[in-house]
Amino acid sequence: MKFCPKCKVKIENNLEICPLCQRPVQPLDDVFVTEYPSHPSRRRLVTLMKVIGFLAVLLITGTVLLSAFSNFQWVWSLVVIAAVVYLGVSIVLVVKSSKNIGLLVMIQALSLSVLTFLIDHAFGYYRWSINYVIPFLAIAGTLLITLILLFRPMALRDFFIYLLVIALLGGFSGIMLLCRWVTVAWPSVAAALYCVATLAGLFLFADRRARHEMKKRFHL
Amino acid sequence: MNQNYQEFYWNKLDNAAKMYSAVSREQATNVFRLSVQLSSPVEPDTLQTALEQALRDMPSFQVKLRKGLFWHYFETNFAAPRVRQDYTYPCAKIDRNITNGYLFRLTYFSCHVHLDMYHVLADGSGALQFLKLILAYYLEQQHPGTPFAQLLPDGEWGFSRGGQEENSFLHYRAPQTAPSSGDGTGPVGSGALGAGAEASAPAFVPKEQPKTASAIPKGLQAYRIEGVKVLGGELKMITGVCSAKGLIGLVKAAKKPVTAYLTALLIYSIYRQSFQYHQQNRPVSVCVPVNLRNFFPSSTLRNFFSNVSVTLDLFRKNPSFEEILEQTTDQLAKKQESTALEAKMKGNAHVEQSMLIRIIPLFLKRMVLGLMYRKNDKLHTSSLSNLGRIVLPEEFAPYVLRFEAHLPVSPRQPVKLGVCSYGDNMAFTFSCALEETDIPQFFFRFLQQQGLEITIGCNEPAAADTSAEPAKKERRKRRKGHEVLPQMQGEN
Repeated sequence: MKFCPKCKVKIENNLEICPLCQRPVQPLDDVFVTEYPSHPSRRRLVTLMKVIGFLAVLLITGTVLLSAFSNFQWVWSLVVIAAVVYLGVSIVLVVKSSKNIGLLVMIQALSLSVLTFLIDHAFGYYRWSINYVIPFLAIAGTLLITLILLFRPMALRDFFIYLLVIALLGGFSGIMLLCRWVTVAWPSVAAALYCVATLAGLFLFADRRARHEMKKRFHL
Repeated sequence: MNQNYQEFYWNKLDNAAKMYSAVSREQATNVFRLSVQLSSPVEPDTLQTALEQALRDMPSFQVKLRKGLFWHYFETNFAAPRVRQDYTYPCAKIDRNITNGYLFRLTYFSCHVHLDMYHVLADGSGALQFLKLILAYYLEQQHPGTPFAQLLPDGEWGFSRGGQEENSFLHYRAPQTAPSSGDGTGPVGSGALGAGAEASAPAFVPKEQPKTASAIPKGLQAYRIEGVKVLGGELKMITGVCSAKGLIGLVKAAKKPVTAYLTALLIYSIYRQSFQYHQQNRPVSVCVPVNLRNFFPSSTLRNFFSNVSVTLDLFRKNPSFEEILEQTTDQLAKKQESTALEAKMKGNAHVEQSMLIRIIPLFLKRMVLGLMYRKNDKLHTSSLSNLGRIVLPEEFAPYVLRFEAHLPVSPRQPVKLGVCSYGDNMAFTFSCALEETDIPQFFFRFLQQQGLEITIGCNEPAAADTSAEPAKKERRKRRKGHEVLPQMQGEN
């Protein structure tokens, strides 16, 4: 114990100055209490995000400047900006969702779809993104989560919502086919069929769990 | 419970938890800590087993928080809980990667067991029952022969899971026909301070009585304690312990309730050390959570409390402590009437149950609720939470020495006070996000001048420890050729 003559209080920690008035204290005896770690840790995720943000700003401004000096080829700088934003978001999400593969797969499938569509659109819109990339992304994502679920049936409650969203991406491919936006039919047909099959399997074979998940996830 | 039950168990969040789950972040963690000092150093393995046994008895804590499209919800957590040595600041945000998805953090340090509880899961009373149960199982293993867990009063935890998880806010709100008094965040007492209780009574009635509950709380922005902020993520804890009997004697002499006395003292400390030097014409308002289990027959482990605010206009009034005490007692008594509490619960439930709020997707809801939370945060200068007298069967007495309650700070309330007593130890814990310690200093000096013996504890690194870290810095400085300055000894 220590004693602060100014505040007239005892201090149970082994301190040199009084925590109340910051003045030197007098020793009383050698019995001290330690309630807290002396060098506690603080979270540092914010710093990583700041570094990524800073690099992204540097890259984007550099690209815009470069394009300004090379006959204003804005298209290229837009592609770089989209790619940088995608990369930054991906890194942050990988760090944040390192324990949830389903979330990772879903985010990648969705953001890659958007990114490739933007690139395709920027360079003449030859429709390779909606013809091939999006349907195959939907198939790959659904397949990946289905495989995980086959080995770990208990993980359904973790992955259900992501499976649903990626399957809807496949469904969206089918809709694009019906609207005649897609010029090559077979990948979209395959994706739509595969996703319908997955959803049918999910609700038929895991009907109770699937319904239960729907109830939980969408309760008002 | 069997696998099937655990797998299909899920539950909605209660009224307050919905708010907390949406608005919590690093700066406003909404994680509070209950800390208990034992007579001997903690054995981690025994504590781990005790935690597992306690979770078996209170499965409502064995949950994780999931996101739905519209609301969060609870679901059984199959991962093993993890007991660790204390590694971070009290009330720091709970990193669910470290706690395996659990919404609480059970840590130990030398003779102390700390339970950091996310407010989404339980309030002080619920967390305390959980901690008591963990302690009972811990002591049972250390001292075989005494059935500590069975000594705990049965009513405290031996009820059904439905009772443990009841959303008591919805159960005990006022009936639909009763007039609503709005969100009840507290009218601002505009009555002159120092006037008699009768004269200032009308000041407690809000001037415009809102017809329906409003999502955005109304009221005047409260006085804000300003100062130099501590580093991000850190928190300064200052605990003062005094004799509970001594304090009760003091309070009895003033003929006032304990909470009112302490609230008045906190307001007086804020006035003397901060308010009177800053000419902000804003009321000093202290938020006092009330445990609604004392008013309604609920035994839920989830949140069941209500915030009552004491608001005093002190601008150019130069009040004495007695005047503040009189006003505080008066306001607390008025707002703690059960009709007022019921009406307030109804107002809150009304907001939660309005379809307009419910159909907003979660990510947008977080923004709306965040706005409400920040607005509400501005209405209070500080908070005081009194857990009251903690009672344990007398068999625990040789092993359990002291309880402490630590509150998390929020951006507008950088200094908060948690109070609880156990045996003859009454512990006041200030959580400060400011470097200044004026307010705790005045608070404890005041009690000391009333004749109480105060023992202070804090989370400043001990003298022996500080030498280790600066040694590195000194070496670095020497290498650079700087002269090493003697460490500054405070402000004088």
